[in-house]
Amino acid sequence: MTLACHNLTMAWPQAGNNAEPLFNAVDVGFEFGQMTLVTGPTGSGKSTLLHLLAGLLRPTSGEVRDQGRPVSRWPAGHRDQWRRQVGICFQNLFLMPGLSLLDNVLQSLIPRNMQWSAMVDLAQRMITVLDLAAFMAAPVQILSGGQQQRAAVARAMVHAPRILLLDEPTAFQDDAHAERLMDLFVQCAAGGACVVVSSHDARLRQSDRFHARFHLDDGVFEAVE
Amino acid sequence: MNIVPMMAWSRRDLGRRPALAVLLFLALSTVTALVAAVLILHHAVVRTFDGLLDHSPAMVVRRVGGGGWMPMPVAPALSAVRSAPGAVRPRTRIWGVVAAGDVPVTIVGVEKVHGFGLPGGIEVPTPGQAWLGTGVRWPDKGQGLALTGRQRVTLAVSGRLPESAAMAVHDLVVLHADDARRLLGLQPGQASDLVLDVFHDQEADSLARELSTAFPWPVQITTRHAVRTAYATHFAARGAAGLLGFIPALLALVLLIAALGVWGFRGRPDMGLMKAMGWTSGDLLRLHLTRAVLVGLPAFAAGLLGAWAVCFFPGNKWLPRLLFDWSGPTLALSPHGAIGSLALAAAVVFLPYLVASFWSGWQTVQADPMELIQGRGQ
Repeated sequence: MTLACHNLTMAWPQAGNNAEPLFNAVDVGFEFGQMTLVTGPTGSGKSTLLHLLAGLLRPTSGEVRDQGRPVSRWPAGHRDQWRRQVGICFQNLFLMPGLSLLDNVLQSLIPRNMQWSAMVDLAQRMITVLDLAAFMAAPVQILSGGQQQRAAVARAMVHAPRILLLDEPTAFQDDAHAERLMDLFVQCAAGGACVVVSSHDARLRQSDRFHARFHLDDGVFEAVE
Repeated sequence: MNIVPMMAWSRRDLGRRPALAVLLFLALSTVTALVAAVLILHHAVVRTFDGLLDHSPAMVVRRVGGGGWMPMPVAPALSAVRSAPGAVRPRTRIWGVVAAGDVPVTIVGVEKVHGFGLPGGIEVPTPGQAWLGTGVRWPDKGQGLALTGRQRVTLAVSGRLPESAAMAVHDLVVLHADDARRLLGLQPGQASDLVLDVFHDQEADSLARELSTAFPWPVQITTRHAVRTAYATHFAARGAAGLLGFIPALLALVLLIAALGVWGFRGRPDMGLMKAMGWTSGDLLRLHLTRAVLVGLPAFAAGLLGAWAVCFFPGNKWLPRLLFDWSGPTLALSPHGAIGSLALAAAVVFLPYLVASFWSGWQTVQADPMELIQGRGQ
């Protein structure tokens, strides 16, 4: 069972016809039940890869396949439904200012046809696990960078996604919190999810908890032993 | 999706941009109030006027000559009418306009005859007495009501006519027929005009043609049906002009559309983010509409309440006068008419608002999530 890029090419339309594609005819697979680390220099396309895997962008050509199903070719309505199985933590976090921490985490649960009390309970438990219980009702913009990052992780994981995509999830964390986050990602993978982490963080590069590693540079994916 | 979480989320979302929500509320309630006021008033004026006409005679006959109106001899007039089949309860009236000081008032002359009574149980005045409408100034203490027509006549005031008398004019003075004749220059046996009823209103036009040749002098005949038609046209024209004349309402509408546009534009990154979090286009459209309804319904209700207050708040008569030149009795609105006006106001204001909300939401949710997040949506 894999989440795979098949012959995937991505070029930004606004970069012009002569611009080099970000990556060209890439074939790479990410296994379910495993954690995969993607590294690479800044601007190499790691974030764009995660956005493509999450169905937030359409590739220029090629396909993203979830267990063989060409999800990137699906019409918007079908991709919307499929995306409910995906949890994503953006590098820029994109928390909603003006809403509380609890509301930001609840945002992922609203469309999932749950009772309101069950949603609130689930969100509160996730926030507590991530050591943010004291800030439950606080406006998210007053949290520190590290706290905001954990809030974004909570929002991505609260609905127990089948596919978890994390862009620099430990960049603003101290060692203890980085380790705590890694524990959660491992638990998620152990539960059968496909976890893909993109990071520069040396602590993650040196971690032995990833099942697979890829390096992305100049549009080329290389498996790292 | 459960409606409770959607409502809760919509409320939170509105709370993030309270100024925009308030702006939208004010614009929508103002437009609703202005449009509903015109619609409600139009219906109320037509209904009230119809009620007055229902109590008026089916046909009015006036004698006319080269100089206009002329006194009508009672005996030959009644004789002429009784010769026409279909004329019911013909009777003559003594009335006209005279001066009370420097103010014009309408006088109606009555006399005590078998079977005649004034509304509200008031006594028929004897010679030298008068009853005053609510708009006629009460004379100073110890002085009578001085009226000036062909002659000057001073009358003792017996009291006020009751509001419930449903008189069409409030500047009315009811006095004895002899006093009225003196004021109007009528001789005994003469009247101002003649009125009659018919079995069916539809018969009035054909009866009018027949009657026009039955009198020994030229007459002008006005039927209730003709008056009703003429005033219905008049009120419809005033109502349409009122709707078009509300430039502030149109400005508010422009504001409303601008607010919706701003809302849609500013909401796009959020929409993209929510799609990334698992919201479908349908969910987002429902959110957009729920948000619109949460602002729109209270605004619509407030607008209707405002319109009601402006139209029917006791003593508030400036709007009926401004829009429909109405200075008659207190306006009345039937439940049926109220529901009809509200439904029409909904069709004119609320439905377009919902359609605009749906359209702006639909435009937004079409784009790919990342395009919306990065502000490159459609």
